[in-house]
Amino acid sequence: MSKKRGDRETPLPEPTEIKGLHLRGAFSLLTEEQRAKLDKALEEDQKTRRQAEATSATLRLG
Amino acid sequence: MDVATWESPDPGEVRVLGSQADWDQLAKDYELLLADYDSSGGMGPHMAPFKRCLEVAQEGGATSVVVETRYLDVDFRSEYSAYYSRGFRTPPASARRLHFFRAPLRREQLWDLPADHGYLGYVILRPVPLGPVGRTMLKPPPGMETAVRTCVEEAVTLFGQRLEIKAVPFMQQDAQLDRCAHAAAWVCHYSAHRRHEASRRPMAAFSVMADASLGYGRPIPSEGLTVQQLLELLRLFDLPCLAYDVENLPSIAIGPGTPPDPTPKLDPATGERLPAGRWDTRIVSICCRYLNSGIPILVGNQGSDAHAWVLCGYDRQPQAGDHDWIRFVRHDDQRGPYLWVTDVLNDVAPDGYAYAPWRYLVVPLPDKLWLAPEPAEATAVALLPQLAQAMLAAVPGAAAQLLLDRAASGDLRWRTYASTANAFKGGLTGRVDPIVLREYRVARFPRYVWVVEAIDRTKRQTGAPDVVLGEAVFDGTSSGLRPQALALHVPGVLAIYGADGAVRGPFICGDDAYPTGGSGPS
Repeated sequence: MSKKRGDRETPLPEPTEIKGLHLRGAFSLLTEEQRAKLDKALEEDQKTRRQAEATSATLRLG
Repeated sequence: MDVATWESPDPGEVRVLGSQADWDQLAKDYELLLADYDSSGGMGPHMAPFKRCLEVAQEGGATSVVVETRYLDVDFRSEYSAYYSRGFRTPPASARRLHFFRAPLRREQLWDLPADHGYLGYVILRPVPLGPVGRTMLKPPPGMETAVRTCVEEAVTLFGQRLEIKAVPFMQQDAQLDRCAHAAAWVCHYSAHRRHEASRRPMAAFSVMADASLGYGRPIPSEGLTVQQLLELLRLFDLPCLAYDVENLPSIAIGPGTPPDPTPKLDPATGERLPAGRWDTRIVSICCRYLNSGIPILVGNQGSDAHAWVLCGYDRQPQAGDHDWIRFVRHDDQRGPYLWVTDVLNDVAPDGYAYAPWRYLVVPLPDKLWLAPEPAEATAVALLPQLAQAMLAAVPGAAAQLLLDRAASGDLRWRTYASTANAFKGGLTGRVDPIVLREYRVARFPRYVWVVEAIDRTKRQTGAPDVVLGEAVFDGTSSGLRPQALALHVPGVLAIYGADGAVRGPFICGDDAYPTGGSGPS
């Protein structure tokens, strides 16, 4: 850790940028293949939720 | 029981609870008092929640109880107006409120409590034999304190003296105007109200405002609520729900630290697929994400004896192998508050009632928390190892290697929770590196965020609190098809993503592990 937790005696230095690591959007960290895999998983998630909506609902809890 | 008996003595009484006999006598006195009103003898199972409340207070170390007679309770008064006042034989219109204290109190201390009173909370009793326990706020009993994760705070006034209690609200159905679904919905809603996320709704509103066109039969006397009624009611009350059908649970994309989907189990006798509530372990991870957020979950099963209850916590028992054992904590309006659920997939009450198989998980959420936790977690699982890889490519030997090492050894896990951005930022003091603290605090975040933490399972197994290696923070209003990362942090590196898409950093930051920011232990 660069500084002890809760130690406020000295001002915090400006953060140091990491040379050689350039980031654009978060998703740019992924390769095309990884991006496609994630997109597919997120679409599946939505599909599953829609299925649940279709089957649920008239059950009475009491 | 006549009104004079129920409302005496004025203004209340103090009872000493120094021995088991005192506790037994308290339970017996109320059983007789309430049964006398009903004039049909014993109270049977309807007293079970009250008895559990007494157990909780006793385990908490109560040695005295102050009984406020003629307590005008907003929830019971609402039930009285909507239902009891319309009957032929009416009960008293007031309730009693029982306050439990660790300190042995005397009557002359009622208006001037000692500083070390050790307040443990209260139980409101309605003069209603089928469901006497009204709004209840009791401190979780010893042994459950860290497991219970959805406690809320309430200030209580007793004879002009301010008391404070932190607890999970509880209420029993009255079996007439409200049933288990109403009681469970009320628990979730009152919790949200105490968190300042919804306005107060008295108990009767959960019956009279339910959309009758989404159910069947007459709304009063109630026979329960359909899942659709529940969802619509809570939407109307400012808590739109995410509902999970246990037969169709979402998966998390396979990545380091995420288990594969469970395989359906077959009935050995018939060869048919068993209900998912018997084998789908994703129930556990889904529930944990909300409980980590301090949000209670309404659970329902199905069948002729369908029931609803509320999960309010869990504890983790480390096991050898890939999975730990999770025990949940349940509020069951028919059995009482703070009860262990030892086996989700084979969930049976000590009295034989089969809760399993679970069928619905209904999670009442703040309106602006649109993103579901599963897409956020799937995205974090994809992004954080990639950030570590990118860091190592730029700076060989960087501390981010630790996250990849844990992933390679199978010791990386994910812990997801929602928070208001203010609470997330406020809780950073003393928890994270000062550079991380400063960057998070000055970053523009929406009202609600999802936080997905990368957990060092090896350290967690030892019971060490500093187990978080980094986290991804997501915009709670972003789409489940493209969860928007607001920040990515792995050991030694932090990047902040602005609302305009600009990246701040990546910065060098500390690389020590730190405690979780979610509710309860990691």
